[in-house]
Amino acid sequence: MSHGGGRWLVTVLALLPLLVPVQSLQAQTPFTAIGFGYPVLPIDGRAASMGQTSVALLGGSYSLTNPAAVTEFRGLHLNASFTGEAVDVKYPNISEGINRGWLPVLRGVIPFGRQNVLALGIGSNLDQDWGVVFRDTLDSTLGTFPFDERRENDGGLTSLDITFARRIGSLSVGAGLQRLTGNLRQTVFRTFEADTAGTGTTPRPVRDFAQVSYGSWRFLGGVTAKLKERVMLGAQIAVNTDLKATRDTTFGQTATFNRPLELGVGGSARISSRFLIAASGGWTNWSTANQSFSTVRAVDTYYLGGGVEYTGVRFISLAIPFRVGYRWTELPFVIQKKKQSTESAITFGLGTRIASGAAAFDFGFEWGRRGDLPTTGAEESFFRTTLSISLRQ
Amino acid sequence: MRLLSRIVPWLATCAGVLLVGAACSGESLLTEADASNAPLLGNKTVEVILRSSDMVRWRDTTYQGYAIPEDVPFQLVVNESDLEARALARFPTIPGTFELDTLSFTVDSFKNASFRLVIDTIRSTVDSMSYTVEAYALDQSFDGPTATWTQASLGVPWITPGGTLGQLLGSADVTVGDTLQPADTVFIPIRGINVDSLLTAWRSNGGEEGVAFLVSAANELRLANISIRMRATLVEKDTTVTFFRSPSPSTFIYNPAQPGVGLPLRVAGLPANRYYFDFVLPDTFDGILLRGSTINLAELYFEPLPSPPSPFPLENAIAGRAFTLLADPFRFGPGTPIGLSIAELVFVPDSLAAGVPVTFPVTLFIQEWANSLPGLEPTLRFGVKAQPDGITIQFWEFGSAESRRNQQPQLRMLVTPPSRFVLP
Repeated sequence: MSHGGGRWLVTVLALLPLLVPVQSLQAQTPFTAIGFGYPVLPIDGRAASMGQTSVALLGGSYSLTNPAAVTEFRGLHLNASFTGEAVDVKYPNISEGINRGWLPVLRGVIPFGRQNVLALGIGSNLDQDWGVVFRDTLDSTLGTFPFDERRENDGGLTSLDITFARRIGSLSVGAGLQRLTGNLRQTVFRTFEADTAGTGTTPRPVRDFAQVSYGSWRFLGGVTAKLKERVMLGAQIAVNTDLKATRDTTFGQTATFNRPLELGVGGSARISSRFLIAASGGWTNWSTANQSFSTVRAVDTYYLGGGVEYTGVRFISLAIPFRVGYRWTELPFVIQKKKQSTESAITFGLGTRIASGAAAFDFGFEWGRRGDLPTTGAEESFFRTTLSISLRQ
Repeated sequence: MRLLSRIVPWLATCAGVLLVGAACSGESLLTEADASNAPLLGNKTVEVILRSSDMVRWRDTTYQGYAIPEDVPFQLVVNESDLEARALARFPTIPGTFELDTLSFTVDSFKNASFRLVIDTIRSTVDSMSYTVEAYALDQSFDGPTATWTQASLGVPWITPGGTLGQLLGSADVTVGDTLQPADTVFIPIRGINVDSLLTAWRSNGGEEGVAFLVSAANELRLANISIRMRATLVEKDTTVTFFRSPSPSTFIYNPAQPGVGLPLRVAGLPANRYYFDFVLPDTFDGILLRGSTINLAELYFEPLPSPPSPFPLENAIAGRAFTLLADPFRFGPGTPIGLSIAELVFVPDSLAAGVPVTFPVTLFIQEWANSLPGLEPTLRFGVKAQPDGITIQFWEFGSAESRRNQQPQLRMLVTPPSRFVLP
């Protein structure tokens, strides 16, 4: 199969399903119900498998983090990533397994000229999906009515990204503009059963909902420096405007929330022809949003991650890089009178290139835990899978 | 074209990944056993009880006269210690001819006649194995719609209350079967008087003054039908023919009379009673928002008052109906047009005596009010009556707006105020 034919084969296979709109998929954990929700980083599969080290990763990362890092890509690149997570939730009185998924990043990298790169992308930002079903009974003089109640929050924030980067010798600089947008639909459904006394009376159900739309801007800046193609260092900064939330009421009730400053540094190095190590760390100024909340508090967060990539394995003439890493991060929203939650995970994964490198698949796996029920009020253990598919010229 | 060939595969790949992602997404929800620990905010469904005095406005009244003894398909003949009743009838259509196909034969003379009484055996009670039913000629005319125990017609009292009785026309001794049920049909033959003269006089004077039917002591008969059976000979033919004629008017009078309507709400009885009411709800009650909320359930409760004086407390369960009113009952009075039937009711004497309220649902009406804007509220007007009107002289009364607070009409609701959706 020719190089071009292989590319079109992938196209045909991908076209078989119908298009669906991009949306944050269902996620139901208590962390998504706290504060602004759960921060969902726009990380691709390769970075995810190496401790989420995306700031300065040799070989490139499609993650929407350091805008300067897109200069690692030569030629047209297209990437789509999907993440699924199985979670065991521990909350007061319950311990239950649920599933969730989201699309962390969709990105196209378009070089123009020898030194300039333009990138367009969509990335995840915050996940506010949450749902609970419970059963209770209403006792009244009109009867005793068992009922099922379903409360859901569906929504979150997504970033629409445009990035420009330029190589200047061994340096690369990049700037990105992101529009943070999204909405949140909150629903309460309460369905009653007939009176247990057998009168046949059944109260009418409750159907209540509200919708909020979000809007904000994010400005990114980044720089990378490469040393003889073996070492890469980088730094990034992101500045956010206030998040404006508008209710769908007649008068368009609006609230404004402060958004944080974000800083990140990282680096990677080829310590041999087959071994690559990488690390990233950063800080996010979430405490600036603290005055926006009444039932939780927002605190600054730090994160740290690192990983190793080994490319010495081949399978049926295909190079299979193996990756392993570890990451640790603090979560920004804290239940009142509880401690701040942290999240840590062991990461691993692999990848492959097919069609003479025209297509690439990267799998990232994370096995971790977040929170501690007695001290933070919520606890989850999770297993996360990220699949990235890339096409390249 | 080259750029297009680069872009399309990417778009297709993205679409495929999106669909895979959508297909793999689970919508599993947490199942929380304890509602108090479930996060997010949903307002609880609460019970709200408003009495008539809690409303912005509550008006109620009883109207009477929807059925009178002449209208109802039964007559009472009672001789009890707490109730006396006599059926009155007039037979104005005594025939003078006998029609057979296209032929007409002249009645020559009446040989004999009997009053036939069909007894509603289910609703009648007798005190012994035998009783006597008597038919008396009245010595005073009566008016069907307005005759009562004390007056023969409007403004004209009986010379003797209970109907001025004249000559005894006939009697029948009825022996009850083993089941102590009254015989369902009783014939009272007219004796001691010239039947032909009597019926000929009725034919010429319109049945005046009429007949009264009485029963011996400690018996209560409910008659389903009264008629007269006559056997006559014809002039043109040597044969005897039988005629049946129904009375007109036919009514009954009873003592004591139904107590006058006061402040309580009354239903049933004869003259038949209905009670009508309307009300205006407050937007908020006891800190709970009503307007704009979900009305999960709303029922009107009417507290039964102690039994009416004998013989008027209901003895048997009767059906009733709650309905909407199409106009202001306090402007249009008893003639207020009625609208939709809301609920079928049952008035059970034992339950009423025990204080069990009569209730019916008005959920959708209250929800319509809750959904309305101030100033555009639908009017909440309802009525309650026995079904059918006039099924019994007995009635029951319920607390009204003027009653003590614990006897006032109530609107009980399950209300869910709008959920407080808080921005994270």
